[in-house]
Amino acid sequence: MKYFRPTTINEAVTGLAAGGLALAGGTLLVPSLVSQPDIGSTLFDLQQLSVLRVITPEAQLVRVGALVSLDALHSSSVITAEFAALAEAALAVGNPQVRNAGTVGGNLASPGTDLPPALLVLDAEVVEARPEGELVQPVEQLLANGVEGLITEVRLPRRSQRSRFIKFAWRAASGRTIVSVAAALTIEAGMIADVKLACGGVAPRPARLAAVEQMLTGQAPAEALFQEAAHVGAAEVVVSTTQPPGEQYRRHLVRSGILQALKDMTTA
Amino acid sequence: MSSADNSAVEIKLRVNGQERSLSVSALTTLQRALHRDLGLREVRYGCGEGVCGACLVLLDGKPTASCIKLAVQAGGCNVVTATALETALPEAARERYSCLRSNFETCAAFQCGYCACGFLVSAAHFLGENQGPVQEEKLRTALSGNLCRCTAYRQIMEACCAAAEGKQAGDLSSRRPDIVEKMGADAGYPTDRHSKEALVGRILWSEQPSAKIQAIDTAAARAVPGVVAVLTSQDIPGDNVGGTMTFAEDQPLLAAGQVRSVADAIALVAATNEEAALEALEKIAVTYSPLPQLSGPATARVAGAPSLGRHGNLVSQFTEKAGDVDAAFAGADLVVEGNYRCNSNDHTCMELEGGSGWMENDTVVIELQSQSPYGAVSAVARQLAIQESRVRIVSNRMGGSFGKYLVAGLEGFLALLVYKTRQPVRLVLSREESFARRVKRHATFAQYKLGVKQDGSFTALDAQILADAGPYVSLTPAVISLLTTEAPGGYEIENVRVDCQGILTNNLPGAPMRGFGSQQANFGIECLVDKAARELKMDPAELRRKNYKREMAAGSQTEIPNPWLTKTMEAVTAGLGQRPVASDGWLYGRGVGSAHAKYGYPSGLTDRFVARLRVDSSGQFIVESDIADGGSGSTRGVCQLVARVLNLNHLPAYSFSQDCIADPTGALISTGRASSSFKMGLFRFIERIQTTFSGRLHALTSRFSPNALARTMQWTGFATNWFNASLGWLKSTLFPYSVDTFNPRISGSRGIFMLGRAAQQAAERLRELALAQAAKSLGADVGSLELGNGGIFNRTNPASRITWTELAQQQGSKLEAVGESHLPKGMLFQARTGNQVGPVDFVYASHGCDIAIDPATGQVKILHYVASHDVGRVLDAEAVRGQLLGGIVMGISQALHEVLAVQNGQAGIKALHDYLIPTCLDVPQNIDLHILESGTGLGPGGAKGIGEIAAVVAPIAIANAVYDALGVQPTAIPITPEQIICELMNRRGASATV
Repeated sequence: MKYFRPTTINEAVTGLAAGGLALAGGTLLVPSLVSQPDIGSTLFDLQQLSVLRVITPEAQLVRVGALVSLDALHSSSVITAEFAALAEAALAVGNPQVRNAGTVGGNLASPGTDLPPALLVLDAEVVEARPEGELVQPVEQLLANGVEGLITEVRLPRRSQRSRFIKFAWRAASGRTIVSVAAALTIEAGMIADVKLACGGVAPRPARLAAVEQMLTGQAPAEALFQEAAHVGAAEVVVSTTQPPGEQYRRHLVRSGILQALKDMTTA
Repeated sequence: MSSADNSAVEIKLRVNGQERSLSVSALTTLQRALHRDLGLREVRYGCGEGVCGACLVLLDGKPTASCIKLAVQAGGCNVVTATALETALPEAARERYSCLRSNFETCAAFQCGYCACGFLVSAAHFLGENQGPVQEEKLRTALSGNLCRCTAYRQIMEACCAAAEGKQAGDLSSRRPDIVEKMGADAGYPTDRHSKEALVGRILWSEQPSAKIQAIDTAAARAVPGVVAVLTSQDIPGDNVGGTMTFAEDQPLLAAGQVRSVADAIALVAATNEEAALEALEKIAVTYSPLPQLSGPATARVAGAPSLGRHGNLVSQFTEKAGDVDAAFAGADLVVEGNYRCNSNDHTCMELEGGSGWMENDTVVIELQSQSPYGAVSAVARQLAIQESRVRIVSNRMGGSFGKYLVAGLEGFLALLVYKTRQPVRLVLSREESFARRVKRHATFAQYKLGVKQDGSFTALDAQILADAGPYVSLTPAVISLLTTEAPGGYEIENVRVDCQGILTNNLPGAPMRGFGSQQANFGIECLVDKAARELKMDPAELRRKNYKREMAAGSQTEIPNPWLTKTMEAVTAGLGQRPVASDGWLYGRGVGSAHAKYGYPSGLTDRFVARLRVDSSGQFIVESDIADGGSGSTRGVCQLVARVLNLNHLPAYSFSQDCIADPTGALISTGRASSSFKMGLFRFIERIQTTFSGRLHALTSRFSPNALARTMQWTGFATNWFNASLGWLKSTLFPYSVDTFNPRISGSRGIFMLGRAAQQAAERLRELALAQAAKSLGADVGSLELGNGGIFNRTNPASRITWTELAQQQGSKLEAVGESHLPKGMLFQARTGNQVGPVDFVYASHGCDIAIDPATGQVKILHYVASHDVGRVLDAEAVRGQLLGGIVMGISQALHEVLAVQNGQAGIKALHDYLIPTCLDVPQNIDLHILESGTGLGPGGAKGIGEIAAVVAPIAIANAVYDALGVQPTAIPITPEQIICELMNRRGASATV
């Protein structure tokens, strides 16, 4: 295995296009490299690309560099104030040392982690640098297609919304996600104007819960409605993982998560 | 920075203030570079997943898991390890940090201490950013990336909280030298040794739980560049016997012809580097032809099941019979029945299993974890066909044990690799191998039946217990025997029928773990008692108090329930107080449980411990014995005991002595000269007869039917015990400071009990010696002298005084004394049943808790936990607290979280990420301890061994609380949130259809 530290994004993009492996925090990649050293030929360590380590709030959106650590993400005031689900998801990952090293880009490159569901409901767009140029695509598309170039930035549209991320694991730190539920909600004139829900942990990558979103939109928030939504969500979600715990229990947690998230977002 | 090809990368980094240059492969982790290449032993390794935190360093000021960071990533960065943290802190935080270090010591924050350096890094970083009163939740989160298997994190938290305010948390005069070592680079854990010169050892494990081996082809593996040796059973110079040979020699060191579990080793590899060793493993071609698989004791014991052992699948069977059980059931007002199961657990010692070996002239030296170093010596000697004197096992300290290292470890593999290659070899298992290939606590399956009178008194008990031994006999007979003896729990039951069988299966090998069978035995009976209470509509605590084992009340002729057991339960009931009020849809429950459990390995007879106490020419006291620091902190309690006897104002140091291991006759430790070969031969001869007539008989019994067993024991039992007692007497007369090499050393909570008494005797002897010497020196009468103020002084004229240093120098640095202790006279077998007897001392405990179950997740939240223990006498208050709290947390975790998911002979769990030992965010924060001192223990000052008991009781309190909350009894541990939700769903489903 060769090792290279590019100093420009172009250098990194060219190297990755030639079959290199992008190395950011390494929390996911290093353990797999140690057990299967033959998964690549050159490591492109991105740490020199400090332009990717900043959070930039702009009028319409907040730009989050791909190398921003999970720790920096959940300590950022703009993220905790406006994108609570993302801050909560960052804090839900692993433990302090993993959050110090792990990055936004690295988490996006592994769809099974905790950030992707939160980014889904926040309508995030991902900027990818490729040899042919920059590609901006919705996070949903990136998760479906996989990463081809270098993730450089995540763009979060600023809206007056509330959001929430709930993770179910059997250990408070370093816990494997059994189910996660992310939700974002906008209320206008006492009605749910916009709502997005996504569920993680039950399939290789997270998915939006379209039926629940549809039934909630245009309705007035109410306990009975949320109960019904949770029920629909638990039925709607596609559970494809075969690892224990079982499907019935995972659906139960989806129901609990949806209900909790909706309640939290509609109480002061 | 870059590397041009596959060769090494040159990196420069700043480590603890020094510029260092290193040449590493791109895939070398930072942990390995720091530990192996730079020799920084404080950067320990525990998982390779970033979960346990043992390898934490500050990387550019941030706590970083160096096991999931490549060394090349740290190029150009600033690395600070646990030994240089003060340099990384702002000036203002340095005093808080210095406080932290001394608080960790005085609070006895660590036990085995393997996690200590990782905690220092996290805590120092926290203190750098936080000053003044601590928000507890914030601190817990900051420490949540550090796993500790020994403690409940409470003393660690207390030390940190006090340090943040710049306060000392404990008594500075009771500093703990072992904790200072554990917070630094010189702790001396076996896996610390990591030289570049050593070959990398690796093991090829069986891929099949049950198969014939048709062929093993190692040619391709041997051809891999860098591979020095590929060894199979053919390469063993001596006997191909491995495992624990106390009761049987049924386990090969390396599989020959057949594999019986995925824990069987087939071949060993030694190579100059890790990559070559791994490649060689992959290139060993083993051809299997699968055999039928025995997946559990129930299937393995049916007639016609394929036989794993020479005499079928029954390892051993013990029975206990008293009274007329059938008649008592017929006359009972109520009969309750239940099937209860304890699934197996992993010990999860934070230090990974392994060590190093090398040749010293003609001697094979193996440094690794072992609770039975004498057994390891004799096994290696047989495997290599060399004299025992040419084998040295070094095991001074280990990063956790919990019973795991009572059974044979990796010594045979390491020894064979070293002997064949004549080069140093390092062999350390991965965390995955530890989960997937090593011993587990015995899973048990019990059918219980209890006869009860209307007034609540127990009249009859029937218990049928099966234990999954895995593929080999190992220590299962001893565990089974104790399961049998403890099956009736702490209760007075006149009519008892217990049948307990250890059964061979193709699962992972069974081993003792914290309780040696007590946890499993207690779980069954205590579940059943709660079921009886529910049916009788009686308070479970009251029903227990009514039925505790009876004894004569002091000074009268009336029998009363065991008063100390009763007091523990009363303390629990009072401590829990009013039940919490349910209000929020959660399910509330309260559970209690008791244990009346043995401690102190019950091998009767002469089990002997020796301790030497000496004063060196600088006046430093040193306690020495062959008891390693197994992680319990008991060696420290021993030092406190010595300090008390000699009225010292500082603790003696404790030092592991190789003298005992080198010469088990005790001559070397007591006289400084080893025994002659004639005396050594005589000693070995006596021991040979002892083991033939005790251990082997145990295994022999498995050939017979239960009745024949009882008959055999009736005929031979008395003779055996009498004979063995005579041999013991002969051995201890001829060799007054000898040990029984067939017994393990650290085992069964007997560290304080046995070593403590030996050290106390040594201290008392030294005291006499010193007083006599001082009297001569000061020209005073011994009666007028007193110990204190760093020496001995004249009571009437305190100015007339001689210091310990002066005394030692006068004696030519030979101021020393040796003490010994042995178990009170007992018997190895009960003639009537074959059960082990002589569990000479008992500990009493009751636990209770209030829990609430979250209907959204099925998770159990512990609202309040109260434990009361009779510890006999408190010798080291912080150590007692640490053992009890740590035991409770381990027991709770085994009851609720530690799912090993064994299926088809394989553990479903392969990583620490998935085996849920708790973090400090998971442990209950309100555990109250009520410690009672009956003074009735057989240890020094009436103390008892308390290392295991808390973990024995905790699962019962939890299971009974869940029972109370759900109204349905959990019948197996661990109880998972998934099971609870399924139960609630089924109930909802059932009520919906009504």
